[in-house]
Amino acid sequence: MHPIDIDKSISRRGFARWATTALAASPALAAADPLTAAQIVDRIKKKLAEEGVVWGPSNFDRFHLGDPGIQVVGVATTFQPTLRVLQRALAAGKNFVVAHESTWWDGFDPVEAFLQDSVCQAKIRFAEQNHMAVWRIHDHWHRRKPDPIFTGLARKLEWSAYYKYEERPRHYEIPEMSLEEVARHIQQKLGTQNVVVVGDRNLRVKTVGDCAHILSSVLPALRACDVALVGETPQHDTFEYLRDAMSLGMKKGVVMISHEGLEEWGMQACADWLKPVVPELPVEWIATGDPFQVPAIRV
Amino acid sequence: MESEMTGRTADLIVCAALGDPMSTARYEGLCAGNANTRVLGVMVCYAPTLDLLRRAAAEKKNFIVSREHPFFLHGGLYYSYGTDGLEAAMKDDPVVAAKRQIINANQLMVYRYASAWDLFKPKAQSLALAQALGLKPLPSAPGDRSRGVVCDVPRTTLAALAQTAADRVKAFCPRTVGDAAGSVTRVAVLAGETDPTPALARLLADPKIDGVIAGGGGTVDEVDGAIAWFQDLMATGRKIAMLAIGHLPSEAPGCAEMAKFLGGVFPALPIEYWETPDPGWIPRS
Repeated sequence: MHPIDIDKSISRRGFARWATTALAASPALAAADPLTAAQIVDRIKKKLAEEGVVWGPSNFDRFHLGDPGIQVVGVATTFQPTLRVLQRALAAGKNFVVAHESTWWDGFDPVEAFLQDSVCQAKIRFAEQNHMAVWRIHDHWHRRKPDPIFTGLARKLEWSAYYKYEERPRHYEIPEMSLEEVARHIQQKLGTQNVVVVGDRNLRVKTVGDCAHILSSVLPALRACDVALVGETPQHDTFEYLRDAMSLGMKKGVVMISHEGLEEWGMQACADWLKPVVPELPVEWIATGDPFQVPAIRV
Repeated sequence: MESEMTGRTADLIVCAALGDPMSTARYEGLCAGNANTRVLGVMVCYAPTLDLLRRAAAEKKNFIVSREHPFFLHGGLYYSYGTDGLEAAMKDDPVVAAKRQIINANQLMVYRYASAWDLFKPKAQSLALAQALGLKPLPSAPGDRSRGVVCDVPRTTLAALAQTAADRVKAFCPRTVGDAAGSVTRVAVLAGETDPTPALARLLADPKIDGVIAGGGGTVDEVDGAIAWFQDLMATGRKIAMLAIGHLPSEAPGCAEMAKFLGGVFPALPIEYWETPDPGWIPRS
């Protein structure tokens, strides 16, 4: 078993004190009927339906942690509900986390597979002790038109003017620059050095296609654009494919950023979208952040 | 030196040596070429790239043993990374077509023995990586068939180990998770992907392990997999960090080791390991 230092987390008694203080500090909140996480989800579904996204089957979109019946004192949106994000949400007075990605380290969130794992137990305990819940909205958030995950990326890259959703979704026509300039632009705008590139540094780039995380998704972007911008793709196929494509003389490039770097800006937008859904509660986006840093090396 | 052995015979000999007939494994065994072709020479590589195929044709190394698939069908060696959609996406792909043309025109055969090699020597890839980095693995428990190895190191940092990886295995795109400047004294070494998560959790069960050196392989590791778990492990208070050196640099030493092994299996055949550089780069200031 791994040693768990969960003492830093807020205890049940501490949460009660904190929640009482939070309620006292907000007379409007104290006067309102308590709102549960499940009731907030009902409001979200209603608003989505009004926007044309009817709630339907999903392998992902449901509660993954905590009690849907908790009384919510604040809402945090985030890309991935890591334990660090939960800790930061609680510290910010938010006990209901609306997340885009998984809680339990597998795309389909099978907590049952990890119940004996001490990290899983710590995460469950943290949520229980602090009356927190995590609800995931992946598929349905992507179904909004335009997809807020990718308009969020365009905004973050300051490429919104080059992103013509109605004409070619996930396709940027940018002012011509080199592949290295593209990569450096992305580093600067996303605030991370974690940008791994395959391709000729001097490749002239006019079109960029953003794409999901496996080669079968990268291929359409590569075929349509000069460069595929992908969130954490397997190197053993995508990088090798591009190596061979270049060997054939194809003028293409791949820019790999983290999954967070590609998508978390859409959950920043989710916070603004949620505020009118729960006007009686504070809503805040909490960044998951790029998990990778790039150490300095002498090459 | 030329032999009268065909690819089919060579495959049977390799499978027998590895102790596991992998002819039914998906995306393994003969991936391209005609098995009835006479073996002229053996080349071992991480991935049978177009450039290596051209060189193999020129140098008459027509029995090619690879860690990765010639048409990028990695499959789920250790995790559920689906490639069904990829096969459809690759239909009529010009890169695949060009590779097939070179293979067929030059009577090359590409055999993949990734799972077979790992089943034969579960720690071979990680052991080779540790040794290439100058690390000495601790003895593993009897019956331990997990992939990773554990090494005690003189007090250092993952940032320093990143330089070691650059110098020794040409890992020029290292990335770290956690505090790269924190000191480490015992590291787990895991070639290739960090997934599956339960296996990584077992590898790190020893609380003295304060560093991980892995390959890292993509989204299956990161948001959906073991690196997300690793971030949560750190958030519980465990003092540990990870260095992901890249998939190719982490697996290449094991491929060289396999070439040595095959030298014993085919003592009369010329066998060479051909390396390929990591194609990635990171813009640096």
